[in-house]
Amino acid sequence: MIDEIKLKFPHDVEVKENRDIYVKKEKLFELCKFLKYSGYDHLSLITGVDYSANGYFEVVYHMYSYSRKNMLVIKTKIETKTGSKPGSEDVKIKASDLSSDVKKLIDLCVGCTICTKKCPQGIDVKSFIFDLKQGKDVSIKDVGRCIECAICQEKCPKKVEILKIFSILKKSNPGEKEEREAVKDPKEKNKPEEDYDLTVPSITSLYNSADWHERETYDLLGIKFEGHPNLRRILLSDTFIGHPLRKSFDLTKKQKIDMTREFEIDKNYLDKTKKEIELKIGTELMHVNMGPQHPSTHGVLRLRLLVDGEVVVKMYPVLGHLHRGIEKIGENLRYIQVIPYTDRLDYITGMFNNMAYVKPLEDLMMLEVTERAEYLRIIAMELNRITSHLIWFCTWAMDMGALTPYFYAFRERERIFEIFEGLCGARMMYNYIRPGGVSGDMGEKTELKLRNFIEHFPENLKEYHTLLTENEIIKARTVGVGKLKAEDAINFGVTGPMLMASGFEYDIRKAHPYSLYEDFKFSIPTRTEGDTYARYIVRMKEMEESHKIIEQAINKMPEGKIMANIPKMLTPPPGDAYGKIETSKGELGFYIVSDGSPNPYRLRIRSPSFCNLSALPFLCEGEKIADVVAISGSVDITLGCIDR
Amino acid sequence: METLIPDKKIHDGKKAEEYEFENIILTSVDKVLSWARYSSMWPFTFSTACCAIEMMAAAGSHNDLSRFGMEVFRATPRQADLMIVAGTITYKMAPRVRRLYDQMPEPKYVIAMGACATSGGPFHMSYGVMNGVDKIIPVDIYIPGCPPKLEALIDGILKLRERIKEDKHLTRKVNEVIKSVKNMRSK
Repeated sequence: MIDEIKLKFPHDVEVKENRDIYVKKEKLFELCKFLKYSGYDHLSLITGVDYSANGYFEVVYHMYSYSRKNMLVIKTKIETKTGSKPGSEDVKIKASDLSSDVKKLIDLCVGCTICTKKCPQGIDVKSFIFDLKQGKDVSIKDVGRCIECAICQEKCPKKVEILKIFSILKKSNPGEKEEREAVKDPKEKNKPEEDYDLTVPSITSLYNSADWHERETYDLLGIKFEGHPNLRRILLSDTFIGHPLRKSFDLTKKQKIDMTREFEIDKNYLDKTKKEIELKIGTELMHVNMGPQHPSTHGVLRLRLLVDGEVVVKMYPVLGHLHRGIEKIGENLRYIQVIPYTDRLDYITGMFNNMAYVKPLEDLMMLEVTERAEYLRIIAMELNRITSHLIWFCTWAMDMGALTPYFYAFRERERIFEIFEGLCGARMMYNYIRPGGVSGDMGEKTELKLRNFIEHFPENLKEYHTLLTENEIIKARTVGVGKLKAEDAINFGVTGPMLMASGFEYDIRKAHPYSLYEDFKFSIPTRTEGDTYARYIVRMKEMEESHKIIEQAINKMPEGKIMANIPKMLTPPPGDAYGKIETSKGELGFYIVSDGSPNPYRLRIRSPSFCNLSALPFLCEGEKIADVVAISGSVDITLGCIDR
Repeated sequence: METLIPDKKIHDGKKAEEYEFENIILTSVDKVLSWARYSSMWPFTFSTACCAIEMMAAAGSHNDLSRFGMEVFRATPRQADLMIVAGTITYKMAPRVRRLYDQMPEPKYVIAMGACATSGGPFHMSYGVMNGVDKIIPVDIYIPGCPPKLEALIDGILKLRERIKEDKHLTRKVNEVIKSVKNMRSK
């Protein structure tokens, strides 16, 4: 494929290490269009990396082709303007520009250095004034630190009015002035910083999944996508100042909270679209607000619905009520310290998150993993798949009014938790899968518990089927509701059981086997209907398949070490890696950029729930308002994973 | 009253004026009320993050919360009297938390479950996380852990029950009214 691209774009494309395709940003849209029509139909993620110290930002696209089973990494460099931020910029004052009254004041200075010694802020006052007197250009950077304590002025033997000089210079300096005004008016500062001209062509017209990825990149890095229909903040509040994933972002700066705030979506935008639709259909619409406190949104998701009677006409999901900034926290930690944070991403599939983070790290560092550890990983992950589906199963049923499955599902969950406690001592936050192996071995008692669980689980699964599968109410509420065709699913970047329910057979465990999945026999359950009921059936079947895998693993598991010899301090070589695994929700990927230091330079999490949720408006528009609950439940979202 | 009892300290360290608001008739009513309150608390399902799953597990089949008369998890704040803040509170969520708390009827109690709701927990250095829910609403019980085991949650709830047992809500309310009337008269 790379050769084809080279033929098509001979002058605009540069290929490095036979993997990364660097393209000029003017040709980006054309390249993406070419890729889309040559089979690269799945846009895995879009992300940005801040290399502003080197004078550029990078936007990275991961494109995957289901037919070719191949992933391409496309990178675009955006050069920042030569002048960096106005606030931090070192503005020079020219001695020739000084006014006559300043010159008079300066002339008194004899360069005795008393003022410099006495300054509590450590400003080199003497050299500042004396250099100006001698006709040199000086930088105003230091003057900003002055707290106007007037000690220097008092101690000065010649009684130079230093504070007066400083205030005159500050006023006459335009860069300083702008910054001061911006601080006074928070609305002005709320606007994206104009210092960088960061624009990339948007590819939302090609891939629907690009919509939210681009909005997120804009939100966290301030990269603007030209041609995006609705480029607003997605995770952070509208009142947030700055773009947190930039390297220049000040973490100590406190953000203001507006406690009276009601609209996270721009009210003008809402009213405008409302009026447009009203004109089309001829009736008045109503706003209905679901969440962030709503039992069926599975956390703190907020859905704003425009409703015509019972029918949903338009839906706006509002995310970010649980945005904890794990990506930024990760940049300030050692590689090994990030693992506990990954547990808290999607808090019901902790094992997968550990694995997804460790996988690209092992790829980058070429670490070996012992065979027993691989088996333990597979057992842990498949058990986790069962607990995740059990949670999904019971909450989804509860959304539709069936409370009984909840008690059945939590019974089995507790059993699995006992096994996890035997493996790593924790019920939910495992921190189990580490680079090079796992943290704990399976003892005899745990193995007994596991064998006991394997023995009884098929019976339990039958119980679940008797509860829901042929239940008339469930069937009436789910069959034919929220249909998603395979091509739409792929265009929205939907993965996992949702994709399988739409009739597309794809599983990363089969397509790109990681760990030792190629040694196991299991099948990919698919349904062709693509409706809510099909998603339910697929997940129930997946639990059966997981059960099969665990059974094979426990019987084949070899003896041996659980941890390979790995260095205590992990310092991967400079480069980047994207590792993806198949979780209970879909493709979970970690994109790690290393600069050779013990901290990750950039961490980007491709969360399956985030991409699956972006298809929710498409699924719900045109359905009844009561079906929104059933459909949003069937997407299987966890807000910790969506908001990160 | 002031003339009858001289101004001196009595055995439990209270001044004579303080007894003025110890309403004797209402104490028994208060006991009955607080008995009713602590034996049937209706928690509000306010869940944001990981702790919510442990909260669900506590209400589930193994660790049946209904032993303490608490199985009725309400989805609306207007029908609940206990708010279990289970999970991280971000700046974006904070106004909503305050609003939900304001909508709950008196008397109301708050449990901060887990490290995030207590102090920001592992995310205290983040740019979007509020370091502790007690910055916006008053908290009665803090439960440590990330997430706390469900036994810890049940223990916290039992501690809160003991607290409610001693609470004289009605007396306090009546006293507030008496005080405000007195203030008005003196003005």
